[in-house]
Amino acid sequence: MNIPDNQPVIELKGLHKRYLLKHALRGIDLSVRRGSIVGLLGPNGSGKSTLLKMMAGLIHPTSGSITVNGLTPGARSKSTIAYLPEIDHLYGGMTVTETLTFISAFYADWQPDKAAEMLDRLELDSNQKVRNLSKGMRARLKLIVALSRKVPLVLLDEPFSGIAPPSREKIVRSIIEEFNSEEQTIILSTHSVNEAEPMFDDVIFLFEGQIKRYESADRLRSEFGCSLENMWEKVCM
Amino acid sequence: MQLDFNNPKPIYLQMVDEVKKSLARGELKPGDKIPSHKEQAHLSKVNPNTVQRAYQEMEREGLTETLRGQGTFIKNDPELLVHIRSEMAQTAVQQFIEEMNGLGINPAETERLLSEHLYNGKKEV
Amino acid sequence: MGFGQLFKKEWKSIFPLYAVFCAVVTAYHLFTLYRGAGWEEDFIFVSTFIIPAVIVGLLTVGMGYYQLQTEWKTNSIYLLLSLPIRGWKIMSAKLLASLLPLLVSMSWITASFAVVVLRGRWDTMHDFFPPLLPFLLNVALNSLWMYLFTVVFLAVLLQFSFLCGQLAARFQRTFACLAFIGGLWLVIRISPPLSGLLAGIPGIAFGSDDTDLLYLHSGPFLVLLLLCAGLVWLNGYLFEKEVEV
Repeated sequence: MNIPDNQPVIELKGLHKRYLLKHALRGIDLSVRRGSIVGLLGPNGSGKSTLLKMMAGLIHPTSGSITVNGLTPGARSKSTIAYLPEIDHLYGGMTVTETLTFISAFYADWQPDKAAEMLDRLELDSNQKVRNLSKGMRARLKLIVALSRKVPLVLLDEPFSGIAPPSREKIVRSIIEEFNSEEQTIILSTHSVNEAEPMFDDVIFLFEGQIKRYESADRLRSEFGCSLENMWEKVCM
Repeated sequence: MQLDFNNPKPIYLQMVDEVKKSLARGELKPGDKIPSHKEQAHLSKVNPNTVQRAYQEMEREGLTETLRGQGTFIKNDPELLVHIRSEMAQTAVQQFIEEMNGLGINPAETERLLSEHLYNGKKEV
Repeated sequence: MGFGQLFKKEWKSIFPLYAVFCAVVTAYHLFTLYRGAGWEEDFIFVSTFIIPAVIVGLLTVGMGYYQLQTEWKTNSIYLLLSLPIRGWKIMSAKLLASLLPLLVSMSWITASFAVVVLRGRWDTMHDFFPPLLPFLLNVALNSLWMYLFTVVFLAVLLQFSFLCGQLAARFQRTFACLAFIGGLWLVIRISPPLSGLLAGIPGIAFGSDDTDLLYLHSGPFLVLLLLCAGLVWLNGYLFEKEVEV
């Protein structure tokens, strides 16, 4: 993709998402620069998943504009995004290998060597059916699906969900290892701030559908004098 | 590498401090090769951008030098160790004094406490 | 490539059902051969051929709804919606994956009927079929394509109904029903005037020169074809732009 270097990888202007009973996103303005790992933090119900789904093109805004890699969400923008939902979204009847074959058919940027290497490192059995995998193994498979590509934008919604704390370190390493800081941007939402904190360049604090802070992790830590993990309540009040 | 995220000091500067401490302790010597910033990111599970900033800062301070095609090395300068030791000692002393002031202890009392612990408390250490 | 994978996935999950049904039908055919000596010819013909054909058709129509419903139920809709593929392609892959088994099943049922039932009862059954091959062939082929066409149209309409149901936050089944009835009503209403506009085009010859020849106005079918294509496009649009998770 030929995108000028200074163009933000995501640009949201006045984004609103209203449901019948809920105003999920209230006026989001955001501009994410290329080449950073951004943490999306906030309590349950703050709109993190909604925001990521909107960037991935699964949900459409009630009002406001959204530009991803210079494109409005659609089939084309989706080819430039790797999205990992919180939910288990892969086909249970397929084996691990079949799943990867299925996904690879849709993306020109699919990297089979990366996938094979990750399969090995994360210790997944290629012949197991997805429905027979444990929650932790399914989470790892989802990660392989998302990271075995050469895409400018990676959206991870709770990638640690279902993964036992000792294995989270492996996931963190995998993410950092695969991250290409010249071409990629990763936006990661998580409740396991403890494990994920070292990864973040910048942080977005989302609360009740609004962005409370969007700044570099270092600056936030020096302002509040504590780690991101301990910062939540202070930021959101 | 011990990085403290509750410390308001930026992580990349903490990383630079860690290298300096290693030098002071003798774990690293001038002229030693250190891992490339990509390798370091993988080793420490820290964002590659942060590691890159740390490396840039070390280069800027004259702590390291990068030789094309060979990697990054601690500057092979014998003065370096002396320099680092004194710099870190100064910082430690300043921190100590600030802490004492914060407790409301005057300079004379601080000096007395210091002597007492340095010369009498050696056996306890 | 993506389309191929989508089709393959659908086929793998749907075809076994059709295969089992075909096996049951053949078992029934064999049953009539050995046990149905005294049965009426009409009954034989209807129960061994017409009813299985209708059931298979209904199965395919129902697939239009079921295929989409499973995606939502198992959450794989998240995967489909994040793939860089146009909505109409996804809908078409599903349609094709239920249409091909239909064709295979119809062929199987016909073959099974011809081989097991007809041959076994040729003496009693052959009076049933006027020995005029051109007529038989014409009627059979025409009936077949009209039947398949209707099945496809209804399947697409059911896809449409499901998607409409998904636009609502609650009472989705009710909305789907309303969409189906509404869609059907609309098609029945606008078909006659639209096909009237196409009065000049050649008709369909149903039958043959030797016996009663019927000329059917092909207008309604052309209109139905266009509406079908339009619905497929509309379904794709709804999937891409309107439906949400």
